[in-house]
Amino acid sequence: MNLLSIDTTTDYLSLAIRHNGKHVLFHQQVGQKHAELLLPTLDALLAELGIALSQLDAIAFSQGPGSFTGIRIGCAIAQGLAFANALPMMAIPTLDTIAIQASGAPALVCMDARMGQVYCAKYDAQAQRIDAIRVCDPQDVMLEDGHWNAQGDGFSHYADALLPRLAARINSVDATLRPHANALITLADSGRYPLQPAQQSEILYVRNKIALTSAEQKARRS
Amino acid sequence: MLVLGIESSCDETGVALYDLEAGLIAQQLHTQMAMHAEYGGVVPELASRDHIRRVVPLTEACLKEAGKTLADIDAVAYTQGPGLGGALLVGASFANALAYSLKKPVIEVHHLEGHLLSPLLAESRPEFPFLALLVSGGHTQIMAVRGIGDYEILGETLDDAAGEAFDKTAKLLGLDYPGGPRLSQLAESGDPDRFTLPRPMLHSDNLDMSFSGLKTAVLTLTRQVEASEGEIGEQARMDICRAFQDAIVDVLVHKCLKAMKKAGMKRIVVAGGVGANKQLRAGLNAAAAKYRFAVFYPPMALCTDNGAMIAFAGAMRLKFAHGAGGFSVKPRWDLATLPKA
Repeated sequence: MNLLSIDTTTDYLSLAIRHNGKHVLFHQQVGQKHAELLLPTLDALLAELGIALSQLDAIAFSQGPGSFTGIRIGCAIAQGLAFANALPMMAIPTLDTIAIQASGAPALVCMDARMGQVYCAKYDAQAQRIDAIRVCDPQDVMLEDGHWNAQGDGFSHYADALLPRLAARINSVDATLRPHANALITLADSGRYPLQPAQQSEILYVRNKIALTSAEQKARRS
Repeated sequence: MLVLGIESSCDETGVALYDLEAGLIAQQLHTQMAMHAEYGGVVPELASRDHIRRVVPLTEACLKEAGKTLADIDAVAYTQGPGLGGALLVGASFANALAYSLKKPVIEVHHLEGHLLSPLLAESRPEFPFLALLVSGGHTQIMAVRGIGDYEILGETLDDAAGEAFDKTAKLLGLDYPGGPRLSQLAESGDPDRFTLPRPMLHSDNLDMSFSGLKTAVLTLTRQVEASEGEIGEQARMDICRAFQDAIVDVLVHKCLKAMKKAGMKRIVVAGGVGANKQLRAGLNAAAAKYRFAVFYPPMALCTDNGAMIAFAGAMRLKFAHGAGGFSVKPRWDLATLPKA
């Protein structure tokens, strides 16, 4: 499958294109400049391959969790590109892209969720997710007996709350693993994620409680 | 020339197609009002989340309504600001990606210019120059408009926008969000002679306005009524609404008259959500008949935020169209800094 993959869920911009066996990648820390850089970078990658977007078969994107604004920039741009070129989209959870980069053993992936919390999920040795992605305080991350790999920046941001408590069950720690456009392509090949029309590709925020309703505000005051 | 317009600056997702010859040929709108009502106001993050769910289906529906395909589009206009940053980014991202793919240019549109020019989409349209009263939940400005992009702000609110004053006062009176329109509805059955509220800055020698004090005045009045009657009855509430609306309308009409005279204008254009207010329209119409000037309003459906005004403003600014690519949004953006078209 000829693919464009897009990750904008962190302060990195990660874009990759694979076309007829050729592969190009942009993976750099850009802060909050995703909007400024995504399309010009894509344009340069397409030029490097000498192809047009319409020659691809699908667009894979990190659907979250991660930076709300970052995800929406990536998703809305992917939707615009997909809609205009009649390409299907593939929505892939961000944590899955971290797990796939170090498969071979069961893994616990924890990603910094800001506000003192982590997004976390567990994976089997084939990097297949075995529970739902959730957002929680680091001290509420639980791990069954076994030999787990610990992956993701949650293990550097909240090392104290996670590592001493879970040390007996953790084999190795790699807090440097981050979402990556190449990992999106690997996952797209796995057949685990459906191809969908642009209008059906959904964002996975995980953190869904954003504000208090009027009734909740009232209850809290009384 | 066919321009696709995309609006996502606050709590309405709008997509429309404007053709330079055929005019407005399709428009789709989704309002998030019901979603935010539960929270008693617009929650920016939820607004952004909804925009991204709506923008592709609305674009598809708009093309279908017009019987057009993406290939027919000559340029993509989108609201670059002012507004909620996250919400603006959704429209900007989609618009740029679409235009990039179609190899068509983009045009960044100022949301308020969209409102300001929306009366030009009505059947009876004003000629330049005209005075504009831009009055909504976020803005209250009086401007001299001499052409596209030639805007001089003559006066504006120093604190709350008129629509904001409506909503805040409605909340204070226990009306459900968005309370402004409900307040106006109640005011229609109110007795205009029972209460009188102050007209802030009515006689100031400039064209600026201030509406935040009216909330306090309403609060004081409700306490007085409660003290003398034990509670705010249905009629008393309507009478208070009436007194409040009278005060706002009086100030707006008075300042507009003053501005017409000062700027030597013969036409006035009213735009923005509060422009749909019946009493404001009646007040301006009466003043227009008395002082012999013409008043223009946008079509009723275009008073709130919408994609049509963005497509239209984009079409008026085709000379600023440029290639799609890297972009940014402007949550704060002064209308007076726009270049003339």
